[in-house]
Amino acid sequence: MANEELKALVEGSVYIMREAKMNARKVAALWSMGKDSTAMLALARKAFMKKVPFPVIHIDNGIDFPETYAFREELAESWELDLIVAKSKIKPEISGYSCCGSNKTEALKEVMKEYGFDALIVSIRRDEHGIRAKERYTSPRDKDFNWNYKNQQAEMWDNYSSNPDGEGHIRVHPLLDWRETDIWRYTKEERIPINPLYLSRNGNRYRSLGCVHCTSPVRSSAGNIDEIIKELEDTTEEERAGRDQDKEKEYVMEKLRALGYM
Amino acid sequence: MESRIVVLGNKDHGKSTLIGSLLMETGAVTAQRVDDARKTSESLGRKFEPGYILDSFEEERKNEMTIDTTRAYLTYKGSRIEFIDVPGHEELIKNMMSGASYADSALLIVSAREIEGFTEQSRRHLFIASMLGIRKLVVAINKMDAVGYSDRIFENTKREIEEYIMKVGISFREIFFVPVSAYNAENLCRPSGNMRWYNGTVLVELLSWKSVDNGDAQKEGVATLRGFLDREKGIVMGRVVAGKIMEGEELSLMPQGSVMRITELFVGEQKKESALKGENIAFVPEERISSEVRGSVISSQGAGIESSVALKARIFIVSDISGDVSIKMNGIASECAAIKVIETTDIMTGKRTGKARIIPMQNTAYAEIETVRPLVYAQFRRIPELGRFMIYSNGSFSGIGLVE
Amino acid sequence: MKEKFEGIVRELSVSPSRHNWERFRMELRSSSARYYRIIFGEGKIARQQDLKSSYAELYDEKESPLGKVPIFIEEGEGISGATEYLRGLLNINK
Repeated sequence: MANEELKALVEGSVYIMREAKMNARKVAALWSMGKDSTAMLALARKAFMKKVPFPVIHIDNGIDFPETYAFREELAESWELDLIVAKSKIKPEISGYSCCGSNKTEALKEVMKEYGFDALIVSIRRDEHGIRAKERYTSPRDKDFNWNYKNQQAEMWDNYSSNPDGEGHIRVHPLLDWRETDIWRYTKEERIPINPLYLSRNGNRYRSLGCVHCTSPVRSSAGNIDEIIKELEDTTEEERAGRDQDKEKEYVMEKLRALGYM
Repeated sequence: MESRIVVLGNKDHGKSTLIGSLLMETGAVTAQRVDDARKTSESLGRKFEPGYILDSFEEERKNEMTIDTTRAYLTYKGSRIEFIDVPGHEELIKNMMSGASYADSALLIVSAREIEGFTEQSRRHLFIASMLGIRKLVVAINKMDAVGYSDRIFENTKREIEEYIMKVGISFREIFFVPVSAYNAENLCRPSGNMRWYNGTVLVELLSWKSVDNGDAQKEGVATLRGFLDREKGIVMGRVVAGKIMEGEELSLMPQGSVMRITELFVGEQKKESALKGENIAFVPEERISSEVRGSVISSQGAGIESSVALKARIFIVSDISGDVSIKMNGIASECAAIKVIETTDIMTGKRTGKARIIPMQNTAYAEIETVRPLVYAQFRRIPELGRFMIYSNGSFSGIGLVE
Repeated sequence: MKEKFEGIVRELSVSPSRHNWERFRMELRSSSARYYRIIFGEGKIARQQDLKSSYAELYDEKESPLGKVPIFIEEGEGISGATEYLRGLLNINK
């Protein structure tokens, strides 16, 4: 991919984040310490003179990879991030879409309410999963976080939605147009630090990172970003193939329910 | 930028089949996806349907639900192509418009079969595509296998579409027609032996050509201001929408109507002497700007940017305009005092009516719009960002407009 | 030093309290532990109980096993994950 294409993606994301900051009363970003959300914070630094001007939230169920926690600490310090760790409890039984018995959505709802955030910047990409094809750059959610996709606001050109209904909030998706390889190219170009789990060790690496339980490594010898990009260009595997498939199904079902399909 | 192509056309004219076939032909989908689609076709007791490659959800497939917006990607000879498949049904026209507004090209699929043909819905889609400023149009006349690969039928359908385009007065910078059979993958990536009379290019090749950029239409620098990045330090942020903005040059600030200079300019977080179209900037002005800057515009001398409370535009209406009307341009809403219709055009027949009071739904009008406060704008064809807007009435989306 | 670490590893498996985890954290730095691997009791964590039966195997530089620790913290009535306390170790990826 040509550099001008990456440049266009970067400018698009910077613009979306600046607009989100201007339109909202109180903005926060979700940070999982994965490659996408970390690249997103790097873009926020570009947009706002090297300082992420809003808090970043980590929804922590307590069983992320040790490397992920270490990475969180290092980067939060060097980038002077205003980090909010929202602990999600592990419940005796799981219900609905949950991660390892903990309900991350519950924890997010609480932290959004506690701080009064009305905009949440999230690093989803459209190519991650078919269900995300319907997503817009800005997407209002009601107070229960429901996404009324059937009656989405029209979003055209550079006119983004700004006013959530009542107690809801706006989801902002600055990376919607990015693809997995774009993220890696940008990560390399800007020398963005990465979680070491993405690189091969003992013939395995993680391509997509969830918590320790729902993610497994893929066979790979890619020991640096160039090799990752090369590998991705040749692969026919889906990105989330290393994720727990039952959970993936559950996730899709949950989304479909929110979309009113079921 | 990659080509973003909105896929238009009537339901059942083969949109999904065509995209599915293209993805298979160009090897853009995994064997797993093709196999899944094969199994789904079998379980439904049908012959293999490439369209199922697109519909990634079992639930959607089983219930044969129309998918709202689907995206598909392929790479052809190093060019990235993204397809945006938008809903066909009428009630979702605003979703169709949302998806299509980010496209630079449109692929219209029209069935060659006489009972299907160039329908009302296809006409409406085509009209909207032109209203959205889409520059390149590729028309795939599909189901050629069902009409005996007749060159006469292809020519007739092509002529009908060309006549429609002329009659309603829309235009595209480039238009291509190609006869295809989506199901048999004929003329998609490989020329068809059944249509030797067609000596044009195969579909994927036409789609991969970058549409002509009108970037040179405006040479002088223009940037829209988004707000203060740091109000205390007086740092303003904006985005260059045309030409080049330079540190130290004399710039006019509208609608304030003053003259200013930039003493320190940043592109992103980097200090630069100039910034180009598309770049997000931040700057420190020589003299602190005390007024609100969001929605203001800075421009080089001679850029011809003006501000006024009245503008003339071609508008397209999706629902009745009544009550409180506002327009949203470049992310900023402005209240309207009046919308005066000069002439309406029926988008099916091209029939014009002067001085209409009401604009019929899903029709177009040439109108004068008065805003309560001065607005900075430009002709759409000169600076798209300052010449296109959404219309809201009582807070809900009712249409779009292009400044003429 | 080695014994101290082995001691806290043993204590943790009996009582994975916050207090013991903090002690583990202190000892980990000066231990020879370098890698970890997480093993799930039931192969999955669908219930709280499954997290309780999962553990992390610790390894030294030569990838020889050093012992097992739980991956949760017992606190009053609830439990929470404890992998944060393994910070500094690397996934053995095997």
